[in-house]
Amino acid sequence: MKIQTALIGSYSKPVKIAKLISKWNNGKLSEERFLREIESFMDNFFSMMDSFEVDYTTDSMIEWDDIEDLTYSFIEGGQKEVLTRFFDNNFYYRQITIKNKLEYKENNSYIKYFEIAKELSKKHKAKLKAVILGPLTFLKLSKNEYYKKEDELMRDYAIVVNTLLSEIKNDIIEIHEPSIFQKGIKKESLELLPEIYNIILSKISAETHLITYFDINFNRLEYFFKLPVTVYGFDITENNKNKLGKLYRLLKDKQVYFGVLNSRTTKIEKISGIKRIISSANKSGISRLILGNSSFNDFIPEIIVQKKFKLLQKVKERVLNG
Amino acid sequence: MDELPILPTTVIGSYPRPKWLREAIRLHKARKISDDDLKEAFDDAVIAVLKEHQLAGIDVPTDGEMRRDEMVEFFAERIAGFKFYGPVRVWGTNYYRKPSVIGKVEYVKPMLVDEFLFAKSASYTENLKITITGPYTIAEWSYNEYYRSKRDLALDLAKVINVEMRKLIEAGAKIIQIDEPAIHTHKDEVEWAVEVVNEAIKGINVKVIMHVCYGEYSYLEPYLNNLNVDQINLALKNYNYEPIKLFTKWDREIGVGVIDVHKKRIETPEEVAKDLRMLLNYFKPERVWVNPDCGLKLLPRKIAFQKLYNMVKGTQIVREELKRKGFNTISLKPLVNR
Repeated sequence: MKIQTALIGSYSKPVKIAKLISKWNNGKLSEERFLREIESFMDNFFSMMDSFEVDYTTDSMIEWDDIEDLTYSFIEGGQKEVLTRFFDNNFYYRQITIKNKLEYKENNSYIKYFEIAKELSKKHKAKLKAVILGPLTFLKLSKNEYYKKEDELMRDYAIVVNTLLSEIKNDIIEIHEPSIFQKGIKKESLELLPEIYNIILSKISAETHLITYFDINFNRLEYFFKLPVTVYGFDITENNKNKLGKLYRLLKDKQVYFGVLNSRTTKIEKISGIKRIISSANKSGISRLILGNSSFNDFIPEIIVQKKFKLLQKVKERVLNG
Repeated sequence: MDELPILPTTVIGSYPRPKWLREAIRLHKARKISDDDLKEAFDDAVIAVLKEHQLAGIDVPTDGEMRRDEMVEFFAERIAGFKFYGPVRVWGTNYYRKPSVIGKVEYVKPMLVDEFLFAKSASYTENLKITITGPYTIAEWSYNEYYRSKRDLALDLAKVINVEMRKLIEAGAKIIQIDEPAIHTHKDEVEWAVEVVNEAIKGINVKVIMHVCYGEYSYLEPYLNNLNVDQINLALKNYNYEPIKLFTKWDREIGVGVIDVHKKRIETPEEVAKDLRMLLNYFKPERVWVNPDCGLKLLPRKIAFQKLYNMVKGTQIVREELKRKGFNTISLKPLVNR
């Protein structure tokens, strides 16, 4: 079994960067200076990921407030409105209210920042993933005031995302789809998802990591595994630890991402616990196992994120060196 | 006087810190001014806030929570068992220092008594409200590294909060608001979260209000009658009042949020009056208090003041209409024997 590590989603945004973003938003900082600061941060971030010997990373998502904000950067037809709780976290995002047909925004800031990240990542070891919000989760996190049918919304969203992915041409895509395990999802939406994913990934030759977090719902796994992706991701912290025994039995020959570093607590994991998970995963016949954080690192202080990745590095070293 | 005019107006708690106070805090952190200088700045800020509440016409003011950086942080710094690792983001570029529980939480010494006594001495009314963060919210908005369960942590926090509330009553508090904005975060925890709140307010026989905002009010609705508070106040304007149907069976007092604190647009008095008339279709006038959705601290000070001013003006319009129907005052006495 191949073992790798990854950072998914965001890195904990330092207050210093947040202050720069506020200044930039208020017109108190030039674009040139702002981009220079972002570039400098990203470069240091990639170096840090290298020091932790992480195989895959995002660009840290430092430039975005949250994943809905990231999505807003490349779509037309929506407006950011009500401050809304992100699942059951004490973390809030501005909900996108869809008021018109969803369309791709030309010359968007996603491309602008991603190009910077892509260029910087070339001199670092960790492979860069492009972060995308899954269509079902986009549907659930947004407020629809335009589409009569949810499938129309997801289809249009898929076309927009496909256009973006065609433009950025990245080798690895990280798709966040936690809503697939969320309560209250219509069966029709779940059944439609493979088709929607095919639209998103049409003519895109990239490795795709499908990421979920907060919950695992076994009744949805048949839909989950039908999605045409490379790696299937699970948050295996908190209550999901109790589901692992059953989960292992369903992962034979699959490439899997396990969020083993709990992104919602400052308590540091035990090396022995992660090693046990690796051992069980190996026995279950998983073909490739990627280990990393369970959800967004925004939920814990930066110093804790670093400690957790340092620990993961130790685990990887010990496992790979026997 | 243990009476208030019909439709009493109040604030939720926090109010924007004056720029000069923020500067004083910065200087204090840089060790350029003394503890005494900072205390003086806090006291002056409380006087300024109370004056603005008075000018706006608020019936039940607070001290604007001038001394508190954040509602969980403040208490975690004063209760034994907590540790801080650094700031975490709540939204956008807004952070707080989310504490970690690394040992048994225990009461150390009064946390709010001095703050309350000063505000009382500076207040234009005896009907001053003091706010305290509730045990469930402190537990939910902390990292638990020590307790077997969040419930165990919250129960110990409830004991701490209860001791503090008793101290506040000894100091003369007549209206205490327990802030539980997190109570409806997890559907499967609300039932015991309500028990924990009841534990925190056990024996507190003054007016007890619970503040709840932003989130799934429907999670709380099935357990409303188990709550031993006299009043709940809610963020409603932000949701265009859609959740009110969940609270129509609530027969105790309700504080209605008629001011959106996340938008800079200032509601007009006529708009507030119109909203209140609509709300009075659902609730008895003698059970309704009027407040903003939440604390005002994130708004520019001028806007916060104007929003409060218009809230009071709008309330006064409806109050006059109610007076003509024979509604004049309401009692401050607790509705529940705790």
